[in-house]
Amino acid sequence: MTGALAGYSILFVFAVILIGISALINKNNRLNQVDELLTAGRGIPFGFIAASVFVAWVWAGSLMGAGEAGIWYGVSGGFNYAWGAALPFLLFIPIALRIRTLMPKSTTFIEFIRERFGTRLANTFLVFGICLVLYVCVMQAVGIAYAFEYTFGLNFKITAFLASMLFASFIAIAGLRGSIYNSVFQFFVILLVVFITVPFIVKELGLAHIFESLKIISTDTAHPEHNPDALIFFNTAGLRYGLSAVVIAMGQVLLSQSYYSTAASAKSTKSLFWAYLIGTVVAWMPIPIIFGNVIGGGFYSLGLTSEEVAVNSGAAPYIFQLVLGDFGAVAFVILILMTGLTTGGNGLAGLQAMFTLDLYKRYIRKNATESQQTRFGRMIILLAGVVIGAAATLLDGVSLLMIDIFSGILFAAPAASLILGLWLKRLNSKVAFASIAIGLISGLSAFVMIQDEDLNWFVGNMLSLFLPFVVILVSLPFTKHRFDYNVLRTYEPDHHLSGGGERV
Amino acid sequence: MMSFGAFSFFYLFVFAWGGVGMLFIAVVVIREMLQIGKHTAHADHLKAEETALPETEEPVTPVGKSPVV
Repeated sequence: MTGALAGYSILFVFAVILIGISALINKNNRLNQVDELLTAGRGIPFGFIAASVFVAWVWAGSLMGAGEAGIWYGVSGGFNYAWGAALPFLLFIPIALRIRTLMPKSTTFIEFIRERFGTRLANTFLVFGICLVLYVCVMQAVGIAYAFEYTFGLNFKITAFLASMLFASFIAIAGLRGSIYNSVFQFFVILLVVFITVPFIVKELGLAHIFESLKIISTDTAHPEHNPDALIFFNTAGLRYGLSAVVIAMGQVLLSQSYYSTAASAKSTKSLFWAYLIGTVVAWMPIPIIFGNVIGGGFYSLGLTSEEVAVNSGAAPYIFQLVLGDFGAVAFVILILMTGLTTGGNGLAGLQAMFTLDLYKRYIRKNATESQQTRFGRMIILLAGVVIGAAATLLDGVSLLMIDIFSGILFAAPAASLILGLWLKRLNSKVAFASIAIGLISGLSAFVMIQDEDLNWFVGNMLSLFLPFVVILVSLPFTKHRFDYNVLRTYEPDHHLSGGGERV
Repeated sequence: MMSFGAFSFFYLFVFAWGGVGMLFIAVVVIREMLQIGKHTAHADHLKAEETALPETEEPVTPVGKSPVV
């Protein structure tokens, strides 16, 4: 059941379904128009947006990372992971609404940065945005490859490359609409897998047994996995973990063009607001808490130790397989495949928008027709798939945790200038640029210079996120120029907007 | 330290919370899919009528492609 043939069969079946949906979309929509390809015609209803946002934010980290937090921090682990990763999304909602109000005809957040701060800062954000998407997509390919390698014994490099090409293919064929419609399909698969497997695991292990196991961990000082906070909901270590999750997720949300593209595709401002709120707080937040509870509790109730099972990558698939047998192993792999493909595809839809509008049309071919732009958008995503696949194959055995820590430091620094630039008219491009540079340099310096390995990553992340806010707020009284936000409202893109770009 | 009662409640509450959230989205998505399907069928019907009309009659207002799969 769990041989290589089964693994390749699962990949093949889902590839046929997802590429089939994309081909159907391509046939029935005018995807040679820029707005259709990049913002799905700006008419996507509430439920589709909510499902898409939900699955885009559920990735291997939400399942395996939350499970790991459940093991390290006990009953509070999943909760701390959840609020830490949900908070940046709550912050994103007013940002998306503000951009929609200020620049109703924009597609990428780079367009806003260019109009607000000028070309130099826009190009800086473009580099950050492209790097972020590539990083997120590589992580998805690596996560999928690890799951298939662990369960079916598939070759890591081949699986990572195939996964990258799969999500690149359905975005190249059908753009953002392909991402959203495939997300809806994947949403139902995730729903079924989670709500069939999790109750079975809890039933098999027994709630009372899980509780007793955690009680032993928290009271038995001789236990190798002793954790006095295992049954304390609000504990300092867990809260610190939640705070670091905020910083790491902040850049991943605010610099990810895919969330702006999905926001631009919403039918109305009202549906955008409710879809993002329900997709994240109501539907997404419980998922990492459930996985923190089940994997963390399951780990101890099965009598496992961190020496026996690799907590960061192996605990979740191990528990699924041990408790539910081959069915559990396959279910878990499908879950990781779905979450990885949706997040990767969603990221590439954003990358497609940035490459097409902010690179090709602006710098490579200024007089390109819509048809030429969409053709470029499709080709570049296939190329991106190859690059992502190649990069993922190089990461076999590399610590993903280390990469994740670096991602927090690298991508959190621009958050302050983006957020404050939306509301503070006295913020100018020089201060914004300086705040990014200072945040980045201080964050990386702290990480390199602080010797304590339990502290350096935390301080580095905090400095990278919060120091730019301080720099901007302190400099404001000394700036003279005041930006006129009304200029943004008259912004007209070069391509035709579906529905004339009217917003409700 | 958390009691067994609070622990059980927490487990069940989170599961119910996730269940309600995901089922709500699922129901809304299915409803929207049906509406889109109905809209597409209507658009296809109008298109078929348009092509079936004799050349002398007034042309039917063209209907754009609907945003569906």
